[in-house]
Amino acid sequence: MPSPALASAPSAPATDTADASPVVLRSITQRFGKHTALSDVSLALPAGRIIGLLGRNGAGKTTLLHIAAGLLPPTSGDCTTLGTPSGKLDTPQLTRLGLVQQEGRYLEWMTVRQHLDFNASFYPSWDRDLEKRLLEALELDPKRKIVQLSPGDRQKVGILLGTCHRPALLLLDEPISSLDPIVRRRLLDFLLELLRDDGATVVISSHILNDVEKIVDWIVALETGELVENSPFDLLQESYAEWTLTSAAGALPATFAEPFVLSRQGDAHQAVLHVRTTDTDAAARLAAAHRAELRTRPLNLDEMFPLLTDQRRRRA
Amino acid sequence: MTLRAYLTLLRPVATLLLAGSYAFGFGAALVGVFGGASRAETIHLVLALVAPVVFGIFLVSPVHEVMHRELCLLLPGARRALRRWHLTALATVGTLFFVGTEFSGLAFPRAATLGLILAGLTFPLLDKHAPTPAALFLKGGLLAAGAACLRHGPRTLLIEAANAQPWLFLAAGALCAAFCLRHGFCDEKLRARSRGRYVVLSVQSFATVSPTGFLELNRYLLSENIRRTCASRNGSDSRNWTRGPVGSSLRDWLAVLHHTRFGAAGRIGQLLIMPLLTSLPGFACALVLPAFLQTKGTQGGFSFAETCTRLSEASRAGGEHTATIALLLLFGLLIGISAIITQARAVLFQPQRLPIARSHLAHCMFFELLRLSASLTAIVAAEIAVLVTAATLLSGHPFSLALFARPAAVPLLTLPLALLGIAYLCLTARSRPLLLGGFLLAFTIGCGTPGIIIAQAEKHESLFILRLADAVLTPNGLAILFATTAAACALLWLALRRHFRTCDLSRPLPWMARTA
Repeated sequence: MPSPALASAPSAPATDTADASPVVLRSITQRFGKHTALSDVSLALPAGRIIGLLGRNGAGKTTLLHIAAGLLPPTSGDCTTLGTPSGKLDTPQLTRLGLVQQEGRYLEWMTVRQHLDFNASFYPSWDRDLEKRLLEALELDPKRKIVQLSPGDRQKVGILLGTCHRPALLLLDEPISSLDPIVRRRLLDFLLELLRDDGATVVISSHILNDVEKIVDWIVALETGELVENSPFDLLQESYAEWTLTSAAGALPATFAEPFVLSRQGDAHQAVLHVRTTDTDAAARLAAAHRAELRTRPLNLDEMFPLLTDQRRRRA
Repeated sequence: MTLRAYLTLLRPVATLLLAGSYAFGFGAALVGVFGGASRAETIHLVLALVAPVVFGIFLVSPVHEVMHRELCLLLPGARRALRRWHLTALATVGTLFFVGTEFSGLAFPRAATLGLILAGLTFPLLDKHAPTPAALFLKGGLLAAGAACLRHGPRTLLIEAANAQPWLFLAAGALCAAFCLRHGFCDEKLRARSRGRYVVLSVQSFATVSPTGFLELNRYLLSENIRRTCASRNGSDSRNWTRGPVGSSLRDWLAVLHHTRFGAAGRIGQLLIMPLLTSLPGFACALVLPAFLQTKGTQGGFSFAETCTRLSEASRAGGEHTATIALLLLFGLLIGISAIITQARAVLFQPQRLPIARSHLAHCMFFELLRLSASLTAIVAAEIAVLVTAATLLSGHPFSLALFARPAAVPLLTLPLALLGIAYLCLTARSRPLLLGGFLLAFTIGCGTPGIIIAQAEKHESLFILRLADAVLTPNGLAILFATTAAACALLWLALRRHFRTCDLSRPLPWMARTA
């Protein structure tokens, strides 16, 4: 039986995938004064995937993205982005890197058009067709000055500036938090298109999990600065489930000793369990052991989130 | 980075106009009029010293705008491109200045001229753009020291030294340029700038937007930098409310209002520093303009001691050199009113999200604005008093209270006029044309009045502003002033109540973008 919870979080990147990985972190620790934002994080992001970076507020997601983009030198450890130490990213790497920030600082006095032209002048691969399509899809008026834009529109500007050069590695830090559902849908479709056409690696950090779930195929989860999950999303969907045990014979136990049971709710005769296991017989064995009727249901990402991002605390 | 992108960033027309007017207008007045330099000296020193520094500042500002944002680290080759284009711009204006000095007619070695131009153009690259009081005072001190070097004694020394050791000047200038270019564009400094706490905007950014855009940009800059300053103070703990439960008293809610604006930052520090800094350039103008006025028709300008003597004599009621004090009073008045209205605008038109009734909010806002106006008026009064006292003591005259006869009119007039201005802001907040029209009118009056005073002085007519100042301190004048101040308070109270009764609290200026 596979060990639950922390077992899937690698303590070091797999060496065979590290070479192909667009971002490799080795024992990264980042401190801000007394606060530790990231603690000994080792990770190799798989290439050509859309990776969901999950974690509660303050888990270290933005810090991780900033280190990967070379904006922040880590306190200790090494980060390699697109084959180069992240602190030494230069033109060849930066032309293939895109970063969309939650609260980006732009040249506020410029119009959207001016800013797009300004950024475009640095990228030989700037795609004007893509820019035009995104402007229409995101419903952004290029004649408006950035200082006059709403937070949502500023976020759209960030998306345009971060993606129109068709990056091979796109880091998205809360890119959809201020967007309406229609624009969100269009943006996610675009990300899928980018992956399909260019084979780009996209890392998306977001709390709008219903949307993220539709596009991600890999999950990385952080909990208070530590890596707690780094797995394919399919595998997580197969292993996380909700089991409802209904016993007509007698009371069910208040706690279950099985290690794959992560939480229990319900009453004495009906227990709703959140479990993590890939053992297909485990459900039947549990039902038989407690002489109960069992119904199973897979969990969506929204329901998985507290189980993924609370693993250390729950274990403690 | 293409030339077009660089020009978009630079805004060459605005840069040329702004830098040109500062360098050749203010610089010529500083060297030629206040410094008493000859025509040849003025042309040469302005082109070799003042203009390079001013153009260096204006050319590097847009580059620093980019450097102070993360996008500079993300744009491929941004550092090299910015350095390349900046060097091109510096080389262009540097060559023009160097060629210009050839026609000045001053015996000044070319090598020394080149050294001065090199150092002047590149020195502003080291500017850190930290809006902290210490950094701003340091900049002010450096500029003042530079201006002092243009006066007769130091200027003569400078010319003699340049003639004696021209190659030393060139070597020093080249070394300075190399150092500034290396440090201004090094990777480490770039990273430090991009992680900088504050939003940096160049003067060109404000000069090239519409009046509405100017207000929006200014509001964005103020609110962002205040937010970032508060966030940086001693970690997150200091941002928390530490006064305990908030009662219903006026005092409690005034404290809350202050906290929403400045966080836990020191009230006195925040209140003092901004107007102090805004008024310093104004008083510098107030010193230069009278000198300019009095110098017309004379040769060689005034010495510093003469300027102090004239200022001291003119401060007393009925004193001579009346244009000097008239302009000082006018600048004090304009600076005081504009400082109060600028600060009041920031208080009045920030989004309000407090759990408080609208009528109570208007009540609190009224007292907050009164407190703000009174504090700033007192600061302006103190500044004028210090200026007049310093001028008197430096000129060797005895100190007496009579010195403040005319300057005392400034704070007495500032308060009611500023309160009326704030009331106008409240009453017209919803109408952009009326609000901007008011600003335009005030700007026209502010710019036109010195001209009227100068014209009156040239015709040897009695100056209206001095008649006003002399009249203020009479019993009748004080009574009228008291009544006017009371009426202004009442009007402000009514205007605030009317404004807060129906305004959109999340967007007090409805014609502005909701969250610019």
